[in-house]
Amino acid sequence: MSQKLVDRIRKGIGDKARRIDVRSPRRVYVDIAPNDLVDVVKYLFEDLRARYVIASGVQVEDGFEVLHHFCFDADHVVVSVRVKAAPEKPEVPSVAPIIKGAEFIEREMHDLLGIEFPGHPNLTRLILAEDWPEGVYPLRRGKPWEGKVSQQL
Amino acid sequence: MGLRLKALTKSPWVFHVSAGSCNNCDIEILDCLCPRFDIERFGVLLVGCVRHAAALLVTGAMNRKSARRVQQLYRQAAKPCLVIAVGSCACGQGIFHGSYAVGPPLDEVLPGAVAAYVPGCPPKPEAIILGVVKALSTLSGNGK
Amino acid sequence: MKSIVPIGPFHPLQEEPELFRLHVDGETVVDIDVDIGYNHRGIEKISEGKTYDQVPYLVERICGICSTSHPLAFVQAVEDLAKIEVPERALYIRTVVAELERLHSHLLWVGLAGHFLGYNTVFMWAWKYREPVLDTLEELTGNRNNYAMMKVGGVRRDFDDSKMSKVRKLLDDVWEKVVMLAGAVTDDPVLHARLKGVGILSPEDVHNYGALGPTARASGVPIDVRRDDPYAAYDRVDWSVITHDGCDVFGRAVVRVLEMLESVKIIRQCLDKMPKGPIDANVKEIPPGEGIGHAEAPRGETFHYVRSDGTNRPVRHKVRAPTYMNLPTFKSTVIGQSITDATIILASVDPCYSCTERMGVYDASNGRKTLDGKELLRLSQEKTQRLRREMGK
Repeated sequence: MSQKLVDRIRKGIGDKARRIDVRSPRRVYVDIAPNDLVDVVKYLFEDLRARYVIASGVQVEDGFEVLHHFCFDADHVVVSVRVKAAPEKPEVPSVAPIIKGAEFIEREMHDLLGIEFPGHPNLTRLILAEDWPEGVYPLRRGKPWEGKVSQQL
Repeated sequence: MGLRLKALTKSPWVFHVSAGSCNNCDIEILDCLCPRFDIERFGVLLVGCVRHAAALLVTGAMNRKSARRVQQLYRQAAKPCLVIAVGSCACGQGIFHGSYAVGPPLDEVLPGAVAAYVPGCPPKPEAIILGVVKALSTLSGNGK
Repeated sequence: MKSIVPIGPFHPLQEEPELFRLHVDGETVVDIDVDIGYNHRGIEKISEGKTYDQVPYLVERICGICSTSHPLAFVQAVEDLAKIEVPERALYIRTVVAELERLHSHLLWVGLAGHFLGYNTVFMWAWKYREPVLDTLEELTGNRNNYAMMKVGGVRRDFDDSKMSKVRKLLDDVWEKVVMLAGAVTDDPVLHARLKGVGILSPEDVHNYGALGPTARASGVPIDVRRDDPYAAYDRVDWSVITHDGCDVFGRAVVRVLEMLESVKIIRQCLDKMPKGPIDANVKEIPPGEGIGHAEAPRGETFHYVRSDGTNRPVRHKVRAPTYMNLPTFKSTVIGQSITDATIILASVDPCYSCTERMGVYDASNGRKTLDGKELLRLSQEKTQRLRREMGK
């Protein structure tokens, strides 16, 4: 089942895929360049009608990764599209203009990891408290809030 | 329960607020209203306005955003207002202690106001009723 | 003339802090803001400091009522990562616990919905019938909630075979009660008038927002992780995905009620088919890699992504609860509706506020209230009374 889907995706996104890794019959990971993200997401979401699941932001050795997860329910496959962002001023094009359901999670990644999403309609604070200092991203390595956030209210 | 709890001679109104809770405690508090546990037989009524409340049931680990609202609510309540910490999170932040998203625990958010701690994750409805009725029976006008 | 009606953050209807701001023009909602963050506890960060054995205890406490779906999705993500095979008996035990949870969660929702509509006897009735389900969970797992049953590679505790006849008796009782409830809901003309056509969520919007669970299925979208990416023992038993074409609050209610019957069917078959054997794969090490696990919580898909570097703690643990995707659908379902229906529309997605960051609606501009949450509840209940009178019931 997933092989047919993988072939369709491969055909549909052409050489935009740097790598398509069929990790298991139900898990596929596609690595692409940030500039191709919007096109690939449009293809999966609008043309292939994949269900948008969520995005995971991860800080890695050499920067940041953002994985947008899509579910092809009828084919029983989760396809995760991965882009990398630079360590200094990480930026990933926003997919929110295409997927309304992505608006919250991009704001959350902005709050917690400090990734910018150019093109997002409203990249404002989502879940951190109003008085949480700017520039302190709790999900980054270590305890970046130490010494910067008061223990009192 | 082991202890005989008489109905309170006053009918204290109790307000319930959650500040960063997973809801288990909140649901068990609502369970206390249901026929099986029936906290109303002790005269305790859950109300929708804090101004008339004799006690504030607080759940949650004191998430930074909610904790300030708890302070505001407490200020609005007529005094004396007993604060009852329901659940491990309200007692001492439970498994969330030390998280960046929580501030000080309840008894530092409302210093000197916490009259009773009902630990448990979540505490059973019987434990909540025991804690609430015991705490409320210390209010003047109530039999012991 | 526009005015703002805030609901929350400490609304007596919703046990959790949440802020919704309805911008109203007369009686019609023209916009809604949602402000979340009142339950953010930094769980993903805490997870990075816990071992794989400790994380299930943490994620169980994300949400009291989806308590088992989070540990289940997490352990499955790790099992996906490390390609671990879970023993058969453990798969069945996982299924039984998950379905018992679905039963008490849906009963909870029925009770709350009844209260919002002004059927207070329904509230008491539903919560009364929840108790035996919680008692059964306590007999089987040791606790009414937070069962601590899931671990990477299996389950933590075995089922005591001597308790099975009690469980079967409970299922018979629940079946009887739910069949009665289903009849009452589908036959009540006041409920039809009250809930049909209210809070419409189109299938297109289900796609756009990534809506999940009964919220999506009530718009005819047949997604259910238990069938689409089968886990535990769901592909070893016969059951149906329940959908409804109404796209409205009525549909969401019907889906939840009928799902309870499917849950009973699933549990009965699990008890019949559960083999004897080990319940734990005894996993010693997690290799580096990444994994994805999802489970169908009562509210929809719970999704976990885990990355490992070969140590005994996750390097990254992304948690996504179903309500995170369902909450933004309010922009579509509440706008254009009357404020008398706002309460029941908000409640119809069964928001698990602590799973997600609650949406709050802020009115920073003037902070003026025309109605508070209590009055909105009263309006909702009054509307039902009015319909009753008009229909001569």
